[in-house]
Amino acid sequence: MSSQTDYQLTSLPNNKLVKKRRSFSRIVKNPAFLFLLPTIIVFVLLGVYPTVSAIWTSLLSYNLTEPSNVEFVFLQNYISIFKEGRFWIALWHSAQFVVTGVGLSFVIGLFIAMLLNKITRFKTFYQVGFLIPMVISPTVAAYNFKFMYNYNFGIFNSLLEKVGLERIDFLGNSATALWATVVIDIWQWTPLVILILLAGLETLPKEPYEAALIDGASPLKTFFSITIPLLKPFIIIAILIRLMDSLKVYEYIQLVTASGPGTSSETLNTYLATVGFNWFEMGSGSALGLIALNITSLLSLFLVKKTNMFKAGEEH
Amino acid sequence: MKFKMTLIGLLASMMVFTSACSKDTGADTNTTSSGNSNKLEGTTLNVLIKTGYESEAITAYEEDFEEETGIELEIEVVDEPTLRKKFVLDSTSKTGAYDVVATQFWYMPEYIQGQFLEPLDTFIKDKPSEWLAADDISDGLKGTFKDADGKLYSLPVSASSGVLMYRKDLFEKYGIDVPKTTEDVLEAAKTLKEKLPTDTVPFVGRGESSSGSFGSSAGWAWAYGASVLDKEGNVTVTSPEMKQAISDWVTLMKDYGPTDASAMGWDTMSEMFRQGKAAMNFDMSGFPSVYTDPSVSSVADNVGVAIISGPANETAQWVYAEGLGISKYSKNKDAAWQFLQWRTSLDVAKQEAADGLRIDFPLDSIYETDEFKDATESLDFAGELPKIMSSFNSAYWPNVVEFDKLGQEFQKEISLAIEGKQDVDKALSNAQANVEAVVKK
Repeated sequence: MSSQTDYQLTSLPNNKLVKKRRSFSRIVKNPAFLFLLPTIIVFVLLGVYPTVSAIWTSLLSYNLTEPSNVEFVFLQNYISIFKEGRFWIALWHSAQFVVTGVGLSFVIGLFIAMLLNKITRFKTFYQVGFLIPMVISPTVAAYNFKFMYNYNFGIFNSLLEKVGLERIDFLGNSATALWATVVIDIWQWTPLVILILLAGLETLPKEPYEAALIDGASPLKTFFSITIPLLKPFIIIAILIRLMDSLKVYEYIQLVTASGPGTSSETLNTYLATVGFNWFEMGSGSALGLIALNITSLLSLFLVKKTNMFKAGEEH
Repeated sequence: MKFKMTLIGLLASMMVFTSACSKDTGADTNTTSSGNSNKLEGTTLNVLIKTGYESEAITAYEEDFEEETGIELEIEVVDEPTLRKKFVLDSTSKTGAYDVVATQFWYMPEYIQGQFLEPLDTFIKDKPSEWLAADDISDGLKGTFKDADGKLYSLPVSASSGVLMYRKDLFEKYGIDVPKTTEDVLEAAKTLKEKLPTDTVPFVGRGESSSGSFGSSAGWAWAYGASVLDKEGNVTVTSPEMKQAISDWVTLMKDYGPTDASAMGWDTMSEMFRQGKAAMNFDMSGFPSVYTDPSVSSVADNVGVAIISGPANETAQWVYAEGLGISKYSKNKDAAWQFLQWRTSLDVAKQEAADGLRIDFPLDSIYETDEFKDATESLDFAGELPKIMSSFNSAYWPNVVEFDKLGQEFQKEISLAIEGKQDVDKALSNAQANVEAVVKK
């Protein structure tokens, strides 16, 4: 009976469709599917739907305040963005922000993590102390720094003057405004790097170090040949998280410099926020958002591939 | 089959629940409230307002309103950009999460075009209560909340014009007359620069690269008869009047202002003046009440206020107006109307004056009340307030939907000129092109 049914099915002109239906119903009936269903629903709602919606919106000329005036413009938003000098300047500022912010917070973070790893007394006290900046709201941190940077009454300039140095116009100068915001980013997020790298340092095996000691390797050689390779998975995780955070930076720039003077401290993300949420240009805003998303994804992929992160993790 | 039946049952119960909810929330839409709010008792109003002294009276006296009307208030106080975003998103999604919303006059073209607000004319005509004080507000101010057909969309709560605030002690010490014109301000700044100690600057104003600083440079330019857009909507940023105005403004900010003048926002600017590190400040007329408050200002006893006019015999402006409107998608419009009338009433204004919450009001008759006179008897410039409020003139303001973009595109060039990165000619020709691009879109 069953072979006859099979024969009949395969002889039908839409047999492929029927087969697909059968395999779909088999999947649905599988208990594993039921267990996975909540995750799938959440993923579709929070991941797939917003992405597809953003892609569609990026192809529209659509201002949120004019909902009746929506037009399909295909790739026009992307073409306009790539033609705009402001986009490329913002991208260049983002690159400067990311390279400096991530680079310096990694170097400082690794140095402090290694110091903390050596300390035995009051270790928890120092650890908690270093984590304080990370738990402060970025908005509060930005406002405080804005006043601390002030040329006339800011604490930084008072200190500079007290040690006999010239006052610096941190925020009113195009040459320094962006770097002033990078400092806030480093101050606030280096503790995260410390946290990750310290966790990594505490899990490193002792044997390679004992072998290096016996072989008479210098501390520098030990550091570069043992510590760094063993710490590699933690370093990559720290850099990846910092990279994504730095590309998304908003508060430090918007509240401290308002992207100025001019647009001298405007990054890709603040430009995106201006287009999307100040001007409500949802089409261009979505296009910018997708460009930013692709840049972050490509950079992350590049980093993971180049450093063989997962391989290193397996070896470790 | 069993599953299907369960699903149908579930859907049916959800529909019943939803309709029950919507009946409940929409119940008062058809009630009347002309002076009688009994029928509105038990209604909950969601009010979205901006931080600042406009919101203080609401949070301070909300219980009085609730007791008197039986209407309950759910108040959300946020900063201005957040307020705009929340209201626009709520309106475009047509959810009606907010019944009453604070409206800044510069976003009115956007709100009117999007039809986010309920016109108030019918309410004023058909449902006035004893609180209604719309006739006590100048037509010029009400005009900033009207559409092209003259329909009113908000009742004004506050208004601000432009004033020069100066240090009386320093002006007396160096024998400088109180400035009356833009030229006097430049002259005074020059004298002060020669005589002031190095830690105090002659002048401070807003110079940062945001639409929030547009009010300073464009308002100053109005004294010279210059505006960004003319009456026909043409971009006139490179006019000779604008060139003269912005040259003087940049001179004030760059040569007589703090080194970081191009980064000055309202917060850092006011902090400088309050700390006694600036001798003059041109900004909104709401600031003198802050500068004369000894709890936040070290120069509280020495603040003078002057209205400044320019070569075109116009007053230098820093126009700001805030009102309260009813969301088009509100389900409690009558209750919202009660709230609007109460908040903008003379009774509440008198209470605010008596409690020292503020001294500048959009209601003309407040300045004759005992409460106002008692509250301001120690302030020299209190007598000037009606004059300051009547100098309000929004004629120069670019009344366009794209204001935020236009303001930023103009101001970012001025900010670079203040920094010294480009001269005024270059700044204005760039700004002309930028603003043209915004208006053309």
